[in-house]
Amino acid sequence: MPGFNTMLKFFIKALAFLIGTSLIFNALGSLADHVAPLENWRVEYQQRVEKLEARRDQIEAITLGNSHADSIDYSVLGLEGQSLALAAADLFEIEKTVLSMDDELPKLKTAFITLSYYSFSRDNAKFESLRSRRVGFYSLILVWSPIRGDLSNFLMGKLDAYTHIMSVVRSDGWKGVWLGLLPSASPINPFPYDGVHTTSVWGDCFHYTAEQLESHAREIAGRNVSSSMQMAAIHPGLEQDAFDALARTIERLQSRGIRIVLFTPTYYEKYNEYFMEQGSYMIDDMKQLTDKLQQTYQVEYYNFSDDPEITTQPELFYNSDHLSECGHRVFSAKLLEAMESGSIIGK
Amino acid sequence: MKFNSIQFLVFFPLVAIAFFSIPHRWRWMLLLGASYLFYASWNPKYIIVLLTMTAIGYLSGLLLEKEMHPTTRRFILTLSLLASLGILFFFKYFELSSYVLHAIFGQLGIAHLIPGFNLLLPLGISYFTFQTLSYVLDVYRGVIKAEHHAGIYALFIGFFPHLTAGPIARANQLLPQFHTVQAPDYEMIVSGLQRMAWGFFKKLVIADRLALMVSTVYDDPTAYTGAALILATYAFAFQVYCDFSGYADIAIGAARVIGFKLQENFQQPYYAQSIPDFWRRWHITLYNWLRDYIFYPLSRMLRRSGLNSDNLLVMMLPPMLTMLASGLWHGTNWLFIIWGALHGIFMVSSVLWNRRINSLRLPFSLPPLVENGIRIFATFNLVCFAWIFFRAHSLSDAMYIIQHLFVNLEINVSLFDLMPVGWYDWLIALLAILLLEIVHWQQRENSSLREVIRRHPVWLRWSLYYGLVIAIFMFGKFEAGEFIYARF
Repeated sequence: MPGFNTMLKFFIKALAFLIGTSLIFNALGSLADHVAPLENWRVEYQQRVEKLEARRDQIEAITLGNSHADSIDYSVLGLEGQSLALAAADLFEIEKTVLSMDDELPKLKTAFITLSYYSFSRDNAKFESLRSRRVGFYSLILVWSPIRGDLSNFLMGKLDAYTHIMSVVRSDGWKGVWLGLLPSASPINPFPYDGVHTTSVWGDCFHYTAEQLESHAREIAGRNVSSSMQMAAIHPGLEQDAFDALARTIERLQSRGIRIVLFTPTYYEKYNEYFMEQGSYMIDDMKQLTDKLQQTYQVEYYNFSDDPEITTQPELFYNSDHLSECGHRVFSAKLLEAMESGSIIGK
Repeated sequence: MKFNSIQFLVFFPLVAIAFFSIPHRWRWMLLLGASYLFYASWNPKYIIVLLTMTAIGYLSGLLLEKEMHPTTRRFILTLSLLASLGILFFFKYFELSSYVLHAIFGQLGIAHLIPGFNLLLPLGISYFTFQTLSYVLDVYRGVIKAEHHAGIYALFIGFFPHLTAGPIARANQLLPQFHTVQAPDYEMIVSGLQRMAWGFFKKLVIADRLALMVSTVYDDPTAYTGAALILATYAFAFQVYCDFSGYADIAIGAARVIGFKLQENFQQPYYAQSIPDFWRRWHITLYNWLRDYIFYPLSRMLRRSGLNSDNLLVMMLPPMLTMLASGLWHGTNWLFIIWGALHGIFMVSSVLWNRRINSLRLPFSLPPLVENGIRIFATFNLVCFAWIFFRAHSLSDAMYIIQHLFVNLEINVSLFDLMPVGWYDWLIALLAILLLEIVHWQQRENSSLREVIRRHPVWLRWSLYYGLVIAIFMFGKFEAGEFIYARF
């Protein structure tokens, strides 16, 4: 059958070509990530998963959510815990993260899930500047079905898992790699921190100064509000869909007998001010939806977003919407106290 | 679904494999289903427009073939053309007409009651309308027989490789191919894939890279002068060429993989030695369409009215109207009409100039290489000048750009900042254009570049293929997306 032979010949060659391409992409991707990494969240997340695996029999608590979730310091809470927070993660990604945790952690008792002001207004799928992050998410997480309506990113992510393609496709067009390979190139920290290091009553910490916090707050609050509004425009019914995703996550964890603790960490006062100016409706919606979750699932929620003892202290902030290490300790102590007293703060 | 999307990367191989795996009698169904899926992935509602246009063409063809009486045939033709053009007009030109009428009635102080619909322009409507028109006209003229198989006819109109941005297929060229049994042909598959890869290179590495710089300048032209404006205009010339010819390469390549031959749409247009020559090389299928259905009939009509070919009206009117139609085909924006008119003026001037030059006995002659070089340079710059109107957001922007083209021609490092990754983006763009020109040069020397590549050993061939694929991923810009000509 001539047609069959032609197809067979083509498929053999195509397969050889694809295998070759995959090998080359893996080599190039590894080289690029080694010489001039563009993102550190992937490495960070992989390290977290490795740590979780290494202590799987001891883990009592996990943290889920975006980078705001890293406010928890488990040494203060007195728990064996591990953060699985992912920078810029939305509630759909959190649901998939939970689904990917197939093997039960035998001692897992508590899951802390962070809720930011904009948590119910985010979907990274179609938002151009976060799309590559969503693709990276699929590449990292062991799930085999896409988030609803997100087939293209899912396929790209799974392709990346085996070919390293997203490390080959670089926004700098490989400029950083070529420069990094020059013999005269000096090692450059791709993610330099421009804050200060001081010693205060809370200990030694890197943090922003008041001026830096003010300017960061203005920029980041504006950006968070506008990006959330754009995402809502792209995804009609986003709030309800995000709510449903979180509800399913809660149901799944509760069915395993895991205690759910929802929390909002403290933000710098100026961040709160700027966010309120442009996105107060988002905060109101978030509180309303959280109330609904509390009523439906009897989950705990602790809102420290404008805690007066933290929100005005620059030393406690890495930047305007992230606590410093000192801030983590102070916040975690307060969270522990609230959890032990059973009070629901700032509801 | 865009060609440069991950969905297409999955969709196309699946369609191709399925196509060769099923018997010939079912293949049209598969291709038609795939084509409608391809179209519906953009906006499912608008498939009705495609179906309506298909029905108009199909029924008109059958009626025209059946009907023998000239008056009735003319009536059917007129009705069919009005229906097809009416749909095109409704979606593409209604808003402009409504706006113009509002302005006119407003000036006269008369209340104007034409409603606004705020419609989305159906993807590829200009392409499938023109295909329908040419089919009906060809059946009417007896050039082709009507297609009786409704499914095959629908496939001719909706075939996914050419559906959204051409090439505009002709019935006598494409319809017979759908009736022919296509056996998998290794050479066709491989050359189709190579063509697609080259199209992706042009689109992602060159066009979308240059697009960033062009947008920076053209979105805010008053912030720039001289060098930046010239650079952005030249960059747009390459952007629009690589974008559109890249699309054509992918479309032609995709069709070739499954055994179909679509018409070429480009033939190194920037090597044209005159504006008429440019139009024989740029968007060839549209130009051929306009030539066959506007230029020739108009010329014939004028000659039949007693004017000879030396008459100025015969020389000027057909090219001018043809180019105006070309501008109008692109859209409702006045700038497209000015762009078309400019090309019309260039074309008429070129004809008159050639007649004048041929009638003179010049005392000197330039070496052919120099003369051709001058012609190519002049033509390229005229085309670039017209591109200003094509790309600008408004007439005032276009006028500002023209007025400031030669103001402050200082070349300095700040020009690097017009690209997101500065000098590096420029370097990549220049190297990619250099590669493009090497390929063009090779194609001029040997019409089939594939033949040239085939003569080399397998390791070199595979290295070239790997190099092309890796270059696309390493240096491609994957954020942009839309093909410029898919808008029309």
